[in-house]
Amino acid sequence: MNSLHLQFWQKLCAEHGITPQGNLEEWAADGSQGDRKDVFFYQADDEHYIPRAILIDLEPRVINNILTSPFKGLYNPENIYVSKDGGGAGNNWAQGYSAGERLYDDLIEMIDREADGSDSLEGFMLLHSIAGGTGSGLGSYLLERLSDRFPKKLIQTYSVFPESSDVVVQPYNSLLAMKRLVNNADSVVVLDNAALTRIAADRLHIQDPSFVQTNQLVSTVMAASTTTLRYPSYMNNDLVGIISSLIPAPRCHFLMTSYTPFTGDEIDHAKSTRKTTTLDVMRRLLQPKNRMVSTISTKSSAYISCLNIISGDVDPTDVHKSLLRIRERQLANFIPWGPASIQVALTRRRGGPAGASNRVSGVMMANHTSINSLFKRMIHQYDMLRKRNAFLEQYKKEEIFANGLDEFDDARRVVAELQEEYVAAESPDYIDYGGE
Amino acid sequence: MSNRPSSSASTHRPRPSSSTARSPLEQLAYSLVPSLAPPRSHRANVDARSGRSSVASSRPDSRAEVDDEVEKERKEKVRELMEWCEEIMESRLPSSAPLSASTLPDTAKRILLQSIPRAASSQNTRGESSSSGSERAIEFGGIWNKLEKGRLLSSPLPHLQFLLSLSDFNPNNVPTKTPTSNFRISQASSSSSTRSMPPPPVPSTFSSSRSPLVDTGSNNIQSLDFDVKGKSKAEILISWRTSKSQKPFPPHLLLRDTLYLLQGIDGRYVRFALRPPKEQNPYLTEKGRAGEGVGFPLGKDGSIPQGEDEGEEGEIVGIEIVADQNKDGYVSKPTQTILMQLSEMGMLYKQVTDLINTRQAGEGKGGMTEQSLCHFLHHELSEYHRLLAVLESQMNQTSLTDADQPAEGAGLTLMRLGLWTEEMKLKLKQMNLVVAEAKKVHGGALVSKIHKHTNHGDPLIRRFTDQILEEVSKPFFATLQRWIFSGDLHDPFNEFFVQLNPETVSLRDGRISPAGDVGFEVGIDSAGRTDEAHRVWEKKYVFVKSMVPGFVSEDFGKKIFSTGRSLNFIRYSCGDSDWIETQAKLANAGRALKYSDLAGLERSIDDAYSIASQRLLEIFFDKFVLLDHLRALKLYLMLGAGDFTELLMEALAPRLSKPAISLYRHHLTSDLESAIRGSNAQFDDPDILRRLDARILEYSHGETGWDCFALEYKIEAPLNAVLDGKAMLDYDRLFNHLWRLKRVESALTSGWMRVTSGSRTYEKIPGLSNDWHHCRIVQAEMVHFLRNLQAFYQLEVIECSWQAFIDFTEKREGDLDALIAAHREYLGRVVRKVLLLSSRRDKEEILLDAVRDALDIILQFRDATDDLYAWSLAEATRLDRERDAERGLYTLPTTDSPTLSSNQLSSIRQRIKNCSNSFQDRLISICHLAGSHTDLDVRFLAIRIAWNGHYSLRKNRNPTTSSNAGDRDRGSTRPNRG
Repeated sequence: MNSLHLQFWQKLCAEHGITPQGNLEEWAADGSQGDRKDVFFYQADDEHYIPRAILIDLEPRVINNILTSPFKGLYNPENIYVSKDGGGAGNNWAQGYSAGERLYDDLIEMIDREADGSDSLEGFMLLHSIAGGTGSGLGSYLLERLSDRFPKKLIQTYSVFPESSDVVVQPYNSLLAMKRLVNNADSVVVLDNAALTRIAADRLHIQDPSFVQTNQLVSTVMAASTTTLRYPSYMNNDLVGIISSLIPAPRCHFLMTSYTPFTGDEIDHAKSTRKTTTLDVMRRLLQPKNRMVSTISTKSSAYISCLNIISGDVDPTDVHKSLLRIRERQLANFIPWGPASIQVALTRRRGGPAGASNRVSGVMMANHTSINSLFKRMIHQYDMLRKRNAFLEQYKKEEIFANGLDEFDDARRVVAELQEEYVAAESPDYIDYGGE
Repeated sequence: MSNRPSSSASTHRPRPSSSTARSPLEQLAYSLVPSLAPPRSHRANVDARSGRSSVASSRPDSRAEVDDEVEKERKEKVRELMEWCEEIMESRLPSSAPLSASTLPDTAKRILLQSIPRAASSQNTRGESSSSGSERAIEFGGIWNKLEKGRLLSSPLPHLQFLLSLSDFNPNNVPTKTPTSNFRISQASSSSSTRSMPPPPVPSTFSSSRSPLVDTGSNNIQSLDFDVKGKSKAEILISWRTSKSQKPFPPHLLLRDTLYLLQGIDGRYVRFALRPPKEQNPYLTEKGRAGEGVGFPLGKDGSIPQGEDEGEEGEIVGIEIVADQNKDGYVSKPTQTILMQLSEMGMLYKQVTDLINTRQAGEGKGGMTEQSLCHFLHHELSEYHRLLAVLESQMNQTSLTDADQPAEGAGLTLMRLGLWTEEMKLKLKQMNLVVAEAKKVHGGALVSKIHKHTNHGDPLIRRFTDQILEEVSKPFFATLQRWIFSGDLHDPFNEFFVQLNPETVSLRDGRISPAGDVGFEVGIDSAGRTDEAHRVWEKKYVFVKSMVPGFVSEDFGKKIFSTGRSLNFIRYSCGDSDWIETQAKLANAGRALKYSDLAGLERSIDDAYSIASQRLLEIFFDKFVLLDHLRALKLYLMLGAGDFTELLMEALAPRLSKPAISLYRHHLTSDLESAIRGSNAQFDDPDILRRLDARILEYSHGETGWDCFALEYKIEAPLNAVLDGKAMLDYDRLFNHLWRLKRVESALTSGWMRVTSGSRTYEKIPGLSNDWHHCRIVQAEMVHFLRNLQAFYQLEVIECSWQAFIDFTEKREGDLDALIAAHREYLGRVVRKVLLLSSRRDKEEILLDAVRDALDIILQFRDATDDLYAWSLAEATRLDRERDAERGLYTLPTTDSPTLSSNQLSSIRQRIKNCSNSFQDRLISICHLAGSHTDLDVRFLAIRIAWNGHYSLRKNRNPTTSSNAGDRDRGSTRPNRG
């Protein structure tokens, strides 16, 4: 996932006007952008901006790509960690997890250093895929350690969920990683490779999108969903503010996102869409086909919460009108057990040099009950694989499974509970859910 | 006709006929008036010409009579006519046209040349009369030469003029009427009436004598008093009087007296009549009018004054003739009328001079306008004096010649006097009107009074009024020029429509208390001090509507007012007098403002207005960066700068939770400092940051820091013209509310961290998961409410209002007033909507109170959940110990018994339950109140909060009993099933 990582930082740099060398572009130097570069960057002694980022991989290929890219000078070299043996995790969650245990000291040292370097550390963001070995295994390990070590800090992950065909043992890896995402993360932004491919094809008319293009999709969403942090305004300036409104119950913290419109600015070779109005943006954000997760909505699926972050030159009165229109047309369905509504945050992001187009775009972050279908499928796939006890040998080799496969069962239980809770949240009885 | 005295013919008989044969004069008469020539049907011609002949009317069948008899009669008539002519010639015929020896014959020839043979076609005339115009002209020329050379007549010109005006060919003459009208002039001028006779027809208007008289009564039986026998009533009267040895009053004496009268001085024989005491008012009865010589009414238009217009006693009301008429001669009625009419001028003159004299003696209120009015009047009166001088010299000429043979061409008669002074009389009347107005009003009001007369129908008066205005408005324009170009009010007599506000004088000793760290008094101090620039702008000058001159519309006046005010403000409050100086120079170099150039005036004022307003706005926007300040207020006092607010909240929260008495301002300021350093605020202009200050409001016992903390933004002159004390109070109110909201928000997010995110730490404790779940649900509700409220404030209220305000400022239209108004509107809108004020006076804050209640409940709820959390942790520890003890590990003895802690738990549960219920109650009422709010935006807040119908759904139930019965009416109320 480090290629995604690169895309994300590229995007942030572009928005804040930071060159690949960490210097400020001319247009960003006067501090009039209203942005807070220090959220994701810090300044070295020589005034260079350095991302508050740690790159970890168990195989060198992707990181080497980064180190040969124009952005090689951006990162703090101490924060790039490549496993010395370089063998990767072999698409095995257990291997990645064990690698994490082995590398714990090195990793925690990097993390501590970065945490110390932050004035008011609010939380961590973790970018990973849960299909392969490193992202899921090492990621899971890190999640556990982070939540132990920084119990009062938020952990938000951007987790790319696999397509069914990626890796054979992917159901195992995903399920095991899911357990940590449920238990140790505060907020998980679910991204789905299948959905990304579909969006690339449907929305952008790119057949067989490359990794770079799908990663650009994701990085766009990530950048957009952090705009309120980086461009402070009246509210939504901190992660907890955003998350607390989206997540009412601790386990139900799996958020789906939509973004519109994608244009050539964000994605290479994308066809620019027509001029969009605020209403267009808000309406499209609610359309399932724009979601970056493939879920199966039922009649009772509902939004638990929904936050639209609209940026660009938006007339505030338009938002008001759009909201009324959406309500009139009942474009969104909400939970029955509590108040819920579409919240809108405006950011006047002035990314890019002066005069650059600042068209209206929006990202939605929503807690939607239909996400349970994803977990259901995950459990189903796991069950299919597990029934045959297929490919378990590789897992048993590692320490965590040395004493049996209880971990699998536990993970399955956790995910099943989560799925149940999401289903329960569709009903008014949720108010008394989990009663003893 | 019937009462024509029989002696009328005898007055003519003794006069010798001028010639037995056709005299040249007769020939001349025939050539110009061919219809008089001896024709076949002469009689009819004579009848037709003389129009009013009694012969014609009494003997219509005259044509049938014998020819020689007719011829004899014709000759008789012609002879009579000729005598008449001569008589008329000798009388004083007032004439507007000077008699010119050179032009008159030519005129006559021209008329003849141009004449169409009208007489021939329309009337039964001789054959010669149908000859062409040129022949007639030649014929006339011959006769004229004879006349001139033959010296047959002493002065042929008047004769010619007379005949010319009688001529059939004169295009001015309507054939059947012309002679009549000319006859009437002679009659009017020569006849006098006795009291026994009905008064002669008075000329319809005096001014009509300026132009040839138009016949007013050809069919008036009274006027048909011309007899071919030549006996006019006047003659009859004269002869009658002569017979009674009454002679007419010597006209030259009358003339001299009249000239005196014209100067407002009583004459020897004629003098002004003063208004008698009321009870003797002669106008009240018809009888009074009969009293000789006393009190002819002198209304402005000759009409009898109305009762309510009666002036004070002693006012001039007419003239009286004090001459002994028996001794010196009689003054005939028409003469009296003329005298009276002429004397009006004298009265007017007197009144005008009175004003000038009193004003110049400094008795009146004075004023530049009045002075220039006096100046103008002076000028006009000197014109009048000149006219009088000329008239007097004319009169002297007249009196030099023999009184018995009155001048024929030149010289002065009463009639001429009236005619020649006609124009001046109108002017005097107008002046008098103005003077009368000047007594009541002054300054601009006077100008506008005068301006009203420019709508007068008479172009002469219009022109004259324009002249007056041109002069009178000079001081006004001088003041105006200074005002709109340099912003100085130079108006020593308070004549301008902009005046210094008397209240502001007290501003000079405005209190300026020393600024500095004076603790609690800061608030009072600043409130008292900051008002000044605003008050200077608002109150220094006042607009006096009544003083706006009529030619300046009120809108325009406001513009002028604003222009000067802007300049004044720029100069004195913004300290930019250099610009004003250059501007004033530039403007003075241009055209001068004057009344006659109203279009130019409008242009100049428009220019000056836009320049001054633009400049003032520029100064505010560019020099004093008003927008930056407003933006800063929005960022810091309306908490738009979220990162700054958060840091400040974070730093201050521990301090503010303590009692207010333990607060120290230096702690607060240092926290403020660090919040600025740590946030984007650090990039802001230092000038803005230096204005930010933490303040401790007055507090009463028991209040915490939260209640009395305020962020202050210091504003000084001239910015406080816009951001006046009231505006800053509004900002304070906004901050107070928004800060409270922010505090609750931070409490809620920290609660979320504990209750939701931190659930790992306590989820192992049995029996509590339900409690926690409930807590979380209620908390989610609170978060939802709070965030929607905040989003509403931010988007619908602050941003939208700001947008509207920015749109206004970008246009840079209007003046400072408009800017102040726009800012007020912006702020007012924000305050109204943020504080959810209702338009109903008595319930203005009802919704706000509900919201505050809800916020308080949230804080109570937070305390309760904290207690639950603490209890959970304690319980977890206890359970751990128990477990440890079971495993045989040594533990400290437990202090809490399980029962005690379970009591605690139930009380905590109760508290949470209470909070949840009352919060939900409160929200329902908030939704209800907001939903029926007068403000549409506030209604939208209700929609936002109850987006999915959650609250409207609950409203129908008893909210306190069940929170879990929602499933019952699931189907009917759940929205958005599409």
